[in-house]
Amino acid sequence: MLATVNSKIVLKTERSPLLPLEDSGQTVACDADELKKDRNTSDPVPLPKRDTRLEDADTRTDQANTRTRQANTRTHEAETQTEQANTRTDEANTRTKEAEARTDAANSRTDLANTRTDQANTRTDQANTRTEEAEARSVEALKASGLLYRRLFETAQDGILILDADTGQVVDANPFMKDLLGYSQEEFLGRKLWEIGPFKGEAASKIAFAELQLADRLRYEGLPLETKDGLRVEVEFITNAYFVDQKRLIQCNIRNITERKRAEAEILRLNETLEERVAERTTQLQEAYSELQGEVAERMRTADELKASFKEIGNLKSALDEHAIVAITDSQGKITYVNDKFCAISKYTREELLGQDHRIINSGFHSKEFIRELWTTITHGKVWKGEIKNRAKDGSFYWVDTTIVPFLDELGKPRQYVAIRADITERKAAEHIVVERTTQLEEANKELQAFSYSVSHDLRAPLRHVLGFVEMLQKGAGPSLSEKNLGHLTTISRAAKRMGNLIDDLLAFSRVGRADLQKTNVDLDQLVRETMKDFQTETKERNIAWEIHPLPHVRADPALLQMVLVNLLSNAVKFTGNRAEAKIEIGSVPDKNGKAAIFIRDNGAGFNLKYAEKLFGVFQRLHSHDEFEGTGIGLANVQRIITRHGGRVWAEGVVDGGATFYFSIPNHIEA
Amino acid sequence: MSIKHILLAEDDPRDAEMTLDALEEYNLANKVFVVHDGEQVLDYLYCRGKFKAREGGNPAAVLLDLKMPKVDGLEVLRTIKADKDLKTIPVVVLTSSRETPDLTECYRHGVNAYVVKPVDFVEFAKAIKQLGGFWAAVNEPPPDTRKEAALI
Repeated sequence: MLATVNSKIVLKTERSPLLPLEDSGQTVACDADELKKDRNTSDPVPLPKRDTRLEDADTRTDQANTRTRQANTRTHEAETQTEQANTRTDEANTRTKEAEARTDAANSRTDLANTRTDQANTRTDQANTRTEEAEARSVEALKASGLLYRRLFETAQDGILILDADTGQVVDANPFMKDLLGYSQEEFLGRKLWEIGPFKGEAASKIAFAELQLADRLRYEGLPLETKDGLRVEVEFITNAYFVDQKRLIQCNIRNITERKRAEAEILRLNETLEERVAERTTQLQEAYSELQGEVAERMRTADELKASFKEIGNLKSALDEHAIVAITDSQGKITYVNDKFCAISKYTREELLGQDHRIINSGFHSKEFIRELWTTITHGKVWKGEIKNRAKDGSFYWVDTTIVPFLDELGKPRQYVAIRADITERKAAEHIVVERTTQLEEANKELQAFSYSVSHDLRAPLRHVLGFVEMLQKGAGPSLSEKNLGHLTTISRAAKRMGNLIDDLLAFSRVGRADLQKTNVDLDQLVRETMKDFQTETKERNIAWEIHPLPHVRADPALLQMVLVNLLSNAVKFTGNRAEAKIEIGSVPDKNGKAAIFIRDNGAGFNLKYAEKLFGVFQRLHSHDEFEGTGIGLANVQRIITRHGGRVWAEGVVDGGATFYFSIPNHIEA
Repeated sequence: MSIKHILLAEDDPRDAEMTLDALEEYNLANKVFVVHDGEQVLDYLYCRGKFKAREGGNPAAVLLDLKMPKVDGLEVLRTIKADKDLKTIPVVVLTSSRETPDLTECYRHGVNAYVVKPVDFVEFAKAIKQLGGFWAAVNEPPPDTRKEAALI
């Protein structure tokens, strides 16, 4: 409604310049301005010729008439419009009155509004003031921002190209672009992207640009550029599109990533190398691992063995402690360890012994030379073995079989001595008795020898004399003596001879007891056959069936063993003397211990088993002289010889049913 | 056959008598000179003491008993065999003993023979006769003895 009022007002004011054109009637102008222009320029122009001016005036009159007619038309139209306008004015006046009424109301409201407007204006003014202040600040900030941006742009170490998004022309290029590609700022500015060397390849670049135009943001990599010098530069290409002053710009940030790429390639290469090396190292590690596993297994095994060894050593130690008396001393002879057995035998407590000099148990029995020899041996790192007499705490003595082992340090010097002992006190006592007995035996033996010697010389001589003089008596006085007296002389001779035999046998028996045994490997078969030859003469007239079985080899003194055979064979021959068919058997049977026992069996007189034990006694006889001759020494000799060989002799027999004699000797034959 | 003399060393007169009796049969008894202990044997051989003035040289043989008073037979044997002038004289030990130590010692000291006197007289006489016959007649004595024999 307000606008309508204003346009009416404008319309009134526009009408007035048109009105003077009707009033003057001579100057026609399209409008006031043109008219004014014509007047101003007509004055200084010189007047043309009259005809021309007349023609011109006619033309202008025609024109003015035309314009007059046109003006009349327009006037008519204007009068019509005026009438319409008057009508509308009336209507308008009516409406004006209504409007004036409303205007009054409106004026009231306007006043209110004005008041509020004033208030608002006041606030607006305030706001404007603040806005102005803010704008001022904003301008300053903008200015600063622009400066900052420009500085960034100028100093950036990335190439920056600003493109017009519509045309693709370079709007701006920062200085680094030259560093990057070798083209100056001038070479960039105003040119289209694809016209510039590095981006050439129009089609490609245009397509790329089309992409740039569409996207707000893009990022390329792997599009190498070429510098002015023809070098290839790997770049990262980032675009951002934005508007400045209604204009779309594309900012391209171009970063030289040649170095990065090279580094990446290097990294890639390094990675490959690294991978290779990793693989290699892995293989090595795996190998090392399996080796290590092997070693671990080996170590485990060793550890197990060690454990077993330790256990074994522990077992051995406890076994040793069970068996032996053990003490350890340092290099100075100070006791550092004793086991229970040591304490038990020495009767000292462990506390009394530890730290003491080992001489605490010295008995004083051994010579200085003995002790010196012991120390010389062990201080030179050698093992000493021997028997030592020690003294216990209560003063009693005990003997120990001792082995002292020196343990050496790195320099070969004894670090400590381990002494292992066994109680041999009883053995020593027994040995002492043996020595005493041996001495006694030797004494007895000497006496026996002297006795034998004496018997040999002194007892035989008188017998010889008896026999000699009886013989001389017979020779000299024989013819004068009676038969009876000659018989007495014969008896004397026989008795003396018998005594001589007894003495000879006794001396032989004594020799058997004393003679040294000269043991060799004896072939009993051969020895029996040789011995039998001695009886050939004696048995020539006899009917004897000899049965000889294979006999073993034995280790014995051949001379003494032959004496055994002679005795046993002569007995067999002798005691079968009254058999029409004598039978003598020689062989071997296993005895109760599995050893070979040699037997000589006959079918002769035999004997009563009751007297079997007496058979082997000296001068023991089970038969009278009238039945069988003999001194009773033979079997005693047999027993003595077999006993001296460590063997055994025994006999079985039945009166008048024959006898069997056995002997066995330990058979340690060397192959 | 030249007959040489024999020195018999025997302390027991009965043995000496039996020995001489046995040698009688070979008529050797007068060629035997009897001494009764070891000392006399040595005196005889060295021509000293009561034998200082004896005639003749070394005997053809010495029959030596072992068990004798004063100096025993073994000592005599040792002395004879250790003396360069006497060691060539044959020495026959004639003894009752057949004990091993006696045998060993005698042979060790160079005895020429060792004879055990048998208890049986017949055997004894036989042994003596053989000995006497051998040493006084059969055996060739060393040169010294021969010289002496020529002198007799």
